[in-house]
Amino acid sequence: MATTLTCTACEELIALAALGVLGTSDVSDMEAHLRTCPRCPTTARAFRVTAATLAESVDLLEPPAALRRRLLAAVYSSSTAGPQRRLRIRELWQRLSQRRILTPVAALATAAAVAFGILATRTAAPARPNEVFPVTAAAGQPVASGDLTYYPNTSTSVLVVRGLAPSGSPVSPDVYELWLISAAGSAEPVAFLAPSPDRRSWVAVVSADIRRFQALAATIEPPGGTSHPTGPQVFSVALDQV
Amino acid sequence: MQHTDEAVVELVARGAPEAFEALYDRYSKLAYTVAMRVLSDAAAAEDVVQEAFLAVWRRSATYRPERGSLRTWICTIVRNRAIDVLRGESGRARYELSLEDSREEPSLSDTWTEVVADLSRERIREALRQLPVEQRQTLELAYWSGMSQTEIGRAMSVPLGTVKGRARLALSKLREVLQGKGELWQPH
Repeated sequence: MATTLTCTACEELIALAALGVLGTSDVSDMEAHLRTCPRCPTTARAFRVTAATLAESVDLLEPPAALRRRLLAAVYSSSTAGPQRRLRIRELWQRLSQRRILTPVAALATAAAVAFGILATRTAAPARPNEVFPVTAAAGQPVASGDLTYYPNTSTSVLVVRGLAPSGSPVSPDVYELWLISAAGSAEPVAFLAPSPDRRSWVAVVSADIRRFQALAATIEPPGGTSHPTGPQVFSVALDQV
Repeated sequence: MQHTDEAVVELVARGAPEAFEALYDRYSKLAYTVAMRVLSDAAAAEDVVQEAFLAVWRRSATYRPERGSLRTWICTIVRNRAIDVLRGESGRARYELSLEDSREEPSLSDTWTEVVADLSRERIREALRQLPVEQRQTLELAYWSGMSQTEIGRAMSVPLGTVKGRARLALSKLREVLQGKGELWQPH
């Protein structure tokens, strides 16, 4: 049964609660007092906000870039909104944001839109001719085909691939991760393939100057992707002629 | 133009990954810093931040701006999760002044929330330095170490009642000092 607290005693419990160290045995007394006291609920909120300033007292650290890629891959892949609703949401977002940077992961949604003509106007006719490079299937993925269209004016490429294992099949990979391969052989993660709504093709936008690289390749990686290729190669695109 | 937290979180609640991306870019450093400060382990901190942001993605509709800022909400989720990891999944029985429950609370019409939003890191550190050392230690142990109130008392060799009193005095004093230094604050 709750006992009667003075405001001062309740404030002590509120302080502990705001700091996250109030034991459960004190909760009922504090809550009973908060329900009837005209003053202490305001103190509770003030202490909570004050306690939160402690988090702001330490120097900020930069989280690893891989965490961002992994997290956004999970969020984009879990977004269940259909194409029409996604378009409405995107329109809302674009009204809010006039200078959003298109990152590789965010670009997945745009890639799907481009591939299906939803946002065709976003890819304005370039002054320099676009270049198209064929996808070459790796062993084990003999039916993979498609092409990479490079837009030199924006250093952006749109990749469309068909014939990959559909999502949900026994042989489906967790993710198809894309890599740009340098002349020295190093691999730089650039994007994930996203399935089209009909699951017949996969798309990605690569926001990078691909002229600095020898090839683009796709591998099968665990959910969230990895920082270096670990899984089997699925296909590649030779960029020698860019 | 940077849109407001409220606008961003509303779009996150409607399932816009682009908005979530903006939210992550805005608060990931703070979240990772909090997780690292509690855990001192980069891999564990990364996991905590990932879980916390996925929780934000799934639960953004429960966020109520009138009950606290978005950064406070995210900080609370990250810190709680980090402390749970620090103490093991079972954790200790802990009560939080929840930012998400449905109980009505009066809003802080005194602009204290706005004052906090404008505080610089150095200003908060300076305010902490003005606290008596035993009060500052109580705050830091309680907020960062994951210790229970009993463990804090043991660590500081003081009775539980002293821990409670110091916590209350410390938060009161900290608020008073920060409010007094809130140069950007103007009475409405």
